Amino acid sequence: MTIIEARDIGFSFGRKAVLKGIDLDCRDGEVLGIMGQNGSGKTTLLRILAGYLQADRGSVRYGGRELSGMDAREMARLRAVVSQGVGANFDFPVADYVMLGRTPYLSRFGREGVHDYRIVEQALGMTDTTHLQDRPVSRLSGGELQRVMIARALSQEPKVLMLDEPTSHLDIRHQMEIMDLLGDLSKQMAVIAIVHDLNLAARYCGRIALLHEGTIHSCGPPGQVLAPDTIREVFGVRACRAEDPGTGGGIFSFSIPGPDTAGKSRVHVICGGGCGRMVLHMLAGKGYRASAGILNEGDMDLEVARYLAIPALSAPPFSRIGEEQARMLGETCLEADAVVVVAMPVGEGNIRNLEVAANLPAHIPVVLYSPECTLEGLDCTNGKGDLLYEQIQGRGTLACTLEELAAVLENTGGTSRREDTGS
Amino acid sequence: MHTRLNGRLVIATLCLVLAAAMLLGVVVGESRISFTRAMAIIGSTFLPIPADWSQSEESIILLIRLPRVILAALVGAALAVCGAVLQSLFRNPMADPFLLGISNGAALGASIVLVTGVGYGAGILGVPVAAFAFGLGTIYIVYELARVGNRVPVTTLLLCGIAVAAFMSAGTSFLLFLSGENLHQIVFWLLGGISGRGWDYVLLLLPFVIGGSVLFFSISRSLNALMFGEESAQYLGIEVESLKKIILVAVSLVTGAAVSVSGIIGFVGLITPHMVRLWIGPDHRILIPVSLLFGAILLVMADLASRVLLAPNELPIGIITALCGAPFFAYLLRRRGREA
Repeated sequence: MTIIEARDIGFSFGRKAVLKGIDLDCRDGEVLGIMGQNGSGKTTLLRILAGYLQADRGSVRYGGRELSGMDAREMARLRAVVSQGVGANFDFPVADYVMLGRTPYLSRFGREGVHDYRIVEQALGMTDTTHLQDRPVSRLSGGELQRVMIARALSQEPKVLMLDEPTSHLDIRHQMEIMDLLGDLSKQMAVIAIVHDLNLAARYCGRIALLHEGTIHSCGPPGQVLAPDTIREVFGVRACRAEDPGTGGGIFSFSIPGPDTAGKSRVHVICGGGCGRMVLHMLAGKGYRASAGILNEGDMDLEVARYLAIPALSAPPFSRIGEEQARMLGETCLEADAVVVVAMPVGEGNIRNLEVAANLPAHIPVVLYSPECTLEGLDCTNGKGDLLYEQIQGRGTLACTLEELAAVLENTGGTSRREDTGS
Repeated sequence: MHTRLNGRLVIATLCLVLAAAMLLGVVVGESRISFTRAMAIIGSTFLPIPADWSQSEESIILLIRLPRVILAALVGAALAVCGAVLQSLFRNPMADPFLLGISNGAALGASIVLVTGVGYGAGILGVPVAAFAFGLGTIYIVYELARVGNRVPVTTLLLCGIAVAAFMSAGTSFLLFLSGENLHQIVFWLLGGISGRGWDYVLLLLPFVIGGSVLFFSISRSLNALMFGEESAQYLGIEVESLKKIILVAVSLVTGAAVSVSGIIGFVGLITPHMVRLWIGPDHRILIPVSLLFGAILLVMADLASRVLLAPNELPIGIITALCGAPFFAYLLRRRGREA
């Protein structure tokens, strides 16, 4: 059931527009993650949804009722907010702190009744903080304090629980415990949480609203919203998604794209047998528009290329490279600004890779990369392979370290291809 | 739970201590009047006790010492309770009732009357009325300076308070410079004192202290919530901006009234709530009444000391509170620092 409907929310700090027309629905039974870069307006949006800030335009409705028509007390019975970094410097006992959550239900001179004590007891139980109730809030660890703050929020008996970065400053175990708790709570109420960690969000949020430049970039299940392209656009990082063997879900690893990737040149990598993975990582890290192949299915280099979202030409497992595939490789190499040939064991199956490389037109720079700095002992084809390696070495450059390779590529591929012709 | 039980016990005990301190204040003095006689004189006001004392003894007890002791208790209670509330509002244990410049404004008002003689026409109350008006005026200026739209950020409020207080102090200093023969009078007022104040002063201050205390006690739950930040309090269903306005107006009225009858008595408003918090914890439902009683006791005792120490001369009470308060405060801070 939809509990909060926000429509066309606009908000400015002075002349700076922070939110420009946000539409967002929040339903019970799910954890809605709000994500976005620092300064993208996540906290502002949460404060508007919570009624702390008044939007410049648009409306927020709780169960069809306009938020701006409610007083603080009424709001406090509908939603509870766990803000970020609440200073708890006072020796205030946890039980009394959680009892503050009953404020919207108590009259000015009224005393807490049996019912209020029972609610507090339940809230402490749900957050597993019963054993802390006599401790002063100033002497809690980060994880304990977060739980106690959630307990206070729960004692408000809210329909919506809002949290601003509930897992920040917590170690990994406490992060997961808090997110598990939110998942449990979402069965009884709607939960909205600002989350920074993409992996945590992907795992625990039912839906994610991605905030970007004051608008909702996308909103939906994590698998849909957290696509590598979207992540790159919104967060400015390269994201690689891999299967998480533990959960069966996806996990992301991130890298910062090199400067000015658009101007970088195309580099095709001929590799195999896992010899090329460091080269592929290096190229991806420096922002080259890399491609790879031909690689047999099951080859570790192919896995790495897919992990890095590098397009790769592939062939069926353990098969010979055919005529048609060799032609495609040749075309790919012709489009590249440089071709890297990684020294690898060569047999009848993959020898076509070397043939193509050896016969490339002279204006295509070819770099041979051998971390061992030798080409001996790689041939399993009775001399054909050695001959091809010799040819390639004769028309190209040999690089023995990744640094050397990077330097050579920087000099060849970085500039226009025509200038390199004939050199 | 045990804190609440303790709270009642503490309050009951302090009531007894306050009563004892006030009796002591009435009995001790330059003209020696025995304890029983003093009791009899007080009792005779509402019991048919045959008078076996002189008319002057009755005057000393009923018209000089009794109002003075009651006034000391009221001023102490007012300053302590306002200090407790402001420390919560500013979330800073260093806040005191004079923080926002009310004392500096009041001092200027009093100085103007004492130097120029304007307002002496209003009789004995010329100085307190001017002090009260200037004190409130100062707070109003501070408030208007700090106000952003409908909100009053507390840090801005603090800074504006400092600025305006400095301005008012400069005005007072200028008047001191010009004052000539009135210098002694002004300095004496600035140092704080309640000697020679009669029942009219008590009646002036009493409604403010009663009204303020009831109000502060009624918002003690909100004050608890406010300790954890304004945003957090708002989320608990408290209209924080209106609460802040109520607190500022009430604290200004109560402090202004206290300053106008007693001059500037420092440290009571700062140190009392601080000590009480170290003793019984930060729960305002106990902190407010205990601070009130404790402040009253402290000032009654300080007043007694001011009469006894250099007898027959009287020390300004502000000197006593600062002399005892400052080192004790430092001691508390050091001790707490070691525990933490």
